Amino acid sequence: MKFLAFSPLAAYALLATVALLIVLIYRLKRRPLRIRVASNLIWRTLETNHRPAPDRWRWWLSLFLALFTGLSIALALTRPQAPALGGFARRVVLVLDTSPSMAARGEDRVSRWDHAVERASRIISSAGLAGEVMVLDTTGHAGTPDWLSRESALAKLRDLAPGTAGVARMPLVPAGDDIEVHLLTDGVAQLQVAPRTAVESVFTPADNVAISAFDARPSLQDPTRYQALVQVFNASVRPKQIQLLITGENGAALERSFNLSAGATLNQTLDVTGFDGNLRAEVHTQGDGFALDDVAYGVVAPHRVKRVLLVTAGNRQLRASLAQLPGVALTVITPPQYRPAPDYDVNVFDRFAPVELPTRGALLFRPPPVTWLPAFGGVVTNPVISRWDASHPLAINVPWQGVHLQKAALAKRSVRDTQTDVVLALGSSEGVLVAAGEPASRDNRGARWITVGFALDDSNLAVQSAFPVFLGDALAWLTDGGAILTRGLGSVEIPYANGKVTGSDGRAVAAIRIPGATVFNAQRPEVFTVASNAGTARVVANVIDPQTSDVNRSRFAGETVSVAPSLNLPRFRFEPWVVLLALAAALLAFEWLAYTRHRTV
Amino acid sequence: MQTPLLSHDFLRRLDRLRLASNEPARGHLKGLHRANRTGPGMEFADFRPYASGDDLKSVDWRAYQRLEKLFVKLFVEEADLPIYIFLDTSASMGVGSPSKFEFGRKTAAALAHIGFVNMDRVNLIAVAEGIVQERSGLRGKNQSWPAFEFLQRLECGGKTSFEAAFKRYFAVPRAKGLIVVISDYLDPAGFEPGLRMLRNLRQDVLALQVISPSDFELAAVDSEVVLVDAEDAGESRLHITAALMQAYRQEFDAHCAAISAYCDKNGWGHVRAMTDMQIEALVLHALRKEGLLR
Repeated sequence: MKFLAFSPLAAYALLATVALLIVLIYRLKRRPLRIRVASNLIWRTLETNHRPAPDRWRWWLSLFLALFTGLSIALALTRPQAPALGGFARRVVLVLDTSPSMAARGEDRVSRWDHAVERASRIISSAGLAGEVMVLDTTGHAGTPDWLSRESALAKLRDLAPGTAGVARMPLVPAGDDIEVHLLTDGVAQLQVAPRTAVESVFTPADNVAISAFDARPSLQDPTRYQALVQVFNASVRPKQIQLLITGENGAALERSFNLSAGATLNQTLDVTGFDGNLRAEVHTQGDGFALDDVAYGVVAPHRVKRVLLVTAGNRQLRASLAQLPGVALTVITPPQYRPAPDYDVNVFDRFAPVELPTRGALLFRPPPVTWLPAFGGVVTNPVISRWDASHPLAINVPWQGVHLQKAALAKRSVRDTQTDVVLALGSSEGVLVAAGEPASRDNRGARWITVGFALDDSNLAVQSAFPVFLGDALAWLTDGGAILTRGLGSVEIPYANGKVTGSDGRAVAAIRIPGATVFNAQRPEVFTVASNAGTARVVANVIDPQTSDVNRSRFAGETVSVAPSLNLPRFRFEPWVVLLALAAALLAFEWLAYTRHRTV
Repeated sequence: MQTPLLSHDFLRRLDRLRLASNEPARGHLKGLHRANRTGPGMEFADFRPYASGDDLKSVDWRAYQRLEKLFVKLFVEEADLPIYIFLDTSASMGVGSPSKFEFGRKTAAALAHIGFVNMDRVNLIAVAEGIVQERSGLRGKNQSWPAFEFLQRLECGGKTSFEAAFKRYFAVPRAKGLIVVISDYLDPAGFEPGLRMLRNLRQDVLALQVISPSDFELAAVDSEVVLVDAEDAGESRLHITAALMQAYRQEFDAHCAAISAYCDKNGWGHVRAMTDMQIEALVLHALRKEGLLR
């Protein structure tokens, strides 16, 4: 027998001592009073008629009761583990796969997660009343690992749920000869399983039709038109008839129906020019067992023509690039012709800078020093781009590592909150190559500026395929149409300091503010809005991951899981020491009734 | 010098009493009890024709004058009453304070004295498992002190067996008379075998049951005790409880009632005497009230 509170030697010593003491006490009981009576004739008659318990028998019974009571109390102190009273205590580590695919439901409409929870509950219940259980998961939602009682472990199990994002990883599990490790998984996530881990499959085939890609963009031919690209993936094991529905925030809707064979994908390009704002795409099919990827969101940005004024002495390359941008109406003038006017959405200055900050956005290439621009740091030759802010809208789509410069004017590092050093380069020292500025007040929305410290003919940027993208991003940022960022589910980091996050229905979303960024958790596909002094961004959070949607890509595919029977909890729901104390109390009561109250005679 | 068993004053008061028997006296000596035969006496019984040899003093001359025939007057003979006083001297009689034996000895002395006063033939027999001692054929007032001395010399001890004692005593022919049995009637074999023998002998019996308060009361309640039998030293280990004591008292009462019922059934006198009562109260009141003394 094992004891939780004493070593076996100490426990047996305690029991022996208690038994010895009780026997000694009984031996020390005073001898009964001897009374001389005239005759035992009547007493013997009484003994025959009333059949009183023989005194010796009563003595042995009393000794037995006292021994049983004393040993019960002593044994309770040792906290024994008895198989008959709930099994031996075990130390069990339960690792539950909380990857999104665990939410998939099979034909029985019971999710793999429910199967896993039921199995885990049975394992916990069989761990013994004094068993210790550690509940872990593969996405880090289970909190700090700790040994828990069975009840606490069951409660923790109830609080867990499959995640919606993130990479599943096998957590670190404690090692030990007396520790059992069970992994409950559907086999979709690729987990590095330790050798002594018992892997239990909860995989059941599930039908799933997913939106594996969704985006809304202006048409390349006509920026005033918008197109939505939808990719539908049939991850089921059988062909499916699918209904695709796209709805806009303004009530516009599109519906398509098609058949898709198992494992096939279908790309659809749909004209959503008439849609506005948030775009919701959803697929429906009979028996779909995984709802997370049935919905995806996009944003249809305002897509009117931007009026751009190019002030240049004759930079044809820049002129051509701007003119080729979709949705841009370009006007070209020379620097002497420049007059501040609010007629244009964006002013592009080539080797020129007005004395005053324009009232609308300004993009400047190799500007001369002016007061409203960052302090001039000197001209350097063959500078090397050292680093850039990959989270800034201007740097997201440009491979800056491939940009080579012959000569550039570097600005000094920013000391103002309203300026962002987007790209830095190394000359004699590190200086700012590309900077973006904000007005001090958000009321003056057009007064953003972007300064690029080199001329296009001093670099190879203009011949980069990403240059039109850079120009497009720059015009979008300057016109403040609001950045549209695409993210997966889970933790989302937006490079807006002190941002306030709201959901598509206007509710506030809890966010963590870290230096230079805002982090929040996207639990389901949705369009979030992040507003800060740096601007407003709409964050489209979608699953958009074929690997997540492919819920039948399991290493247990082909195996079947039986539906777990109902929990077979032990008959005794208390630890043995509680039962022993209750038994001792009952024996004391019996002894009191039998002897103190003399009910035995 | 030994303390006298009975006081002089009490003895004087006993002089006026005599033992009553349901049966006619069968004694052969002159006494004060009516016998069931005619002979010398004071109480007229009948006439019969004169026969040769009859005493002429018994001829009724007045009847001769009227009838001119000789008739003899017959009288009820007055004889003495044989009294057998059996005193239980077994060890059980020594229990209690005062002991039942002491009380029984005084009672026996008082009854014997009454017998002596009435010219009865008194037999004192100490019994236990058999006849312990006896003093037979005592008669006359002057026999009181020898009888008292005999009683005072007795000591209690041994077991009780009425059957053995009576069988031994009545093995020789005894005149019918009054048998007084003074005992606690705690015979291990039961009281019935002994008394049955007296019934078969058609004796008139006065059963005097002496009870000590310790016979039905134990001070040690709510404790374990070993009850040691005074006669055979047998032990009974019991846990005495109030309920058990109550049951014991009921059983003891049933035992006494059985003795009383047995005596009533056979037309015998039966008196239950507690040792804490005065001997005078027993003799002068209880026995007289029961009609056992006149």
